Amino acid sequence: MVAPYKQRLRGIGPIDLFDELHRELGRFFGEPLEQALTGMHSAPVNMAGNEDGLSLSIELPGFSHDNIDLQVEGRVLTITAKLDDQTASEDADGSSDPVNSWVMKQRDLRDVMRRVELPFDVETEQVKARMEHGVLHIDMPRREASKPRKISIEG
Amino acid sequence: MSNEQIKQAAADASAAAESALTERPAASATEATASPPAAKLPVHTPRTDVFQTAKATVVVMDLPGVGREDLDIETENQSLRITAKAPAPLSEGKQWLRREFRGRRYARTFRIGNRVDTEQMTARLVDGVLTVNLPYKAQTMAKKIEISG
Repeated sequence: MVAPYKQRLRGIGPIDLFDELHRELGRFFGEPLEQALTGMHSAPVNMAGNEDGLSLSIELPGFSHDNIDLQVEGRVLTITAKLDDQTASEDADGSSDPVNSWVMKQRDLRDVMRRVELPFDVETEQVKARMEHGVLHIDMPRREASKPRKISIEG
Repeated sequence: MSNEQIKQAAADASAAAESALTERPAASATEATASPPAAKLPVHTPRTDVFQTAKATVVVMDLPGVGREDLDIETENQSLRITAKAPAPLSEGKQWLRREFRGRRYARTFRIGNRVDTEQMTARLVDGVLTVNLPYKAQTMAKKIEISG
């Protein structure tokens, strides 16, 4: 739920405002626009979190882990996955007979780019990822400094 | 229906039988919900590529989240039925912040033409992609004829 404009203005400096505006716009246009411009495609993401960190999963069937690139910049995780060209026309026995005819073509074998905004800073050095059945699972522990601190009241 | 039309329909039907693979629509809605334990999961039609080479018809299917133990491939009466289950993702004691995919079942049935040697079928599942190889019977394979002299 977005707070009314005037209410949001209160207590924020001009820099913060632009920053926020940029973020809001980016959320709606940034990713699809970037995908359209680069010819890359999206992939569905699940993300769960608690005060200790985040777990994210993204569906990337057919991509092997050496074709996937992960990058954390500030609070934005970028996942890019490139496809090998030879994937399409390989037989089950590994031989690659030339395709004579297509009966059905529904899989969109295309490069994937996905950007996900994270709710807090994560320890980039400790991000772990594993591929399981075409789903990439990423674990991101929360950065110590960004964890909420309990303040004891003296007296 | 005139005789001409009937003849045409019969010709179309036999042409379909000759072709290596055609999709068979799910028999009914009840079939999709027949097995009780997984009945709660929605049934998806997996995105599929089908192509033919000189030796075989190859079916390639995206089945993200599906392990070998959750996949069934059956052939019966010249039909190939592929069913699979992708378990519901767990939040592992965390709160969901984004949920763009959920647990689901996959089901798709194809009609195999009589060219396919069902005994020689092979399948492999790599990184959530299933590839089924349906080789043709030896006698139906196109042969190159050597010209001597």
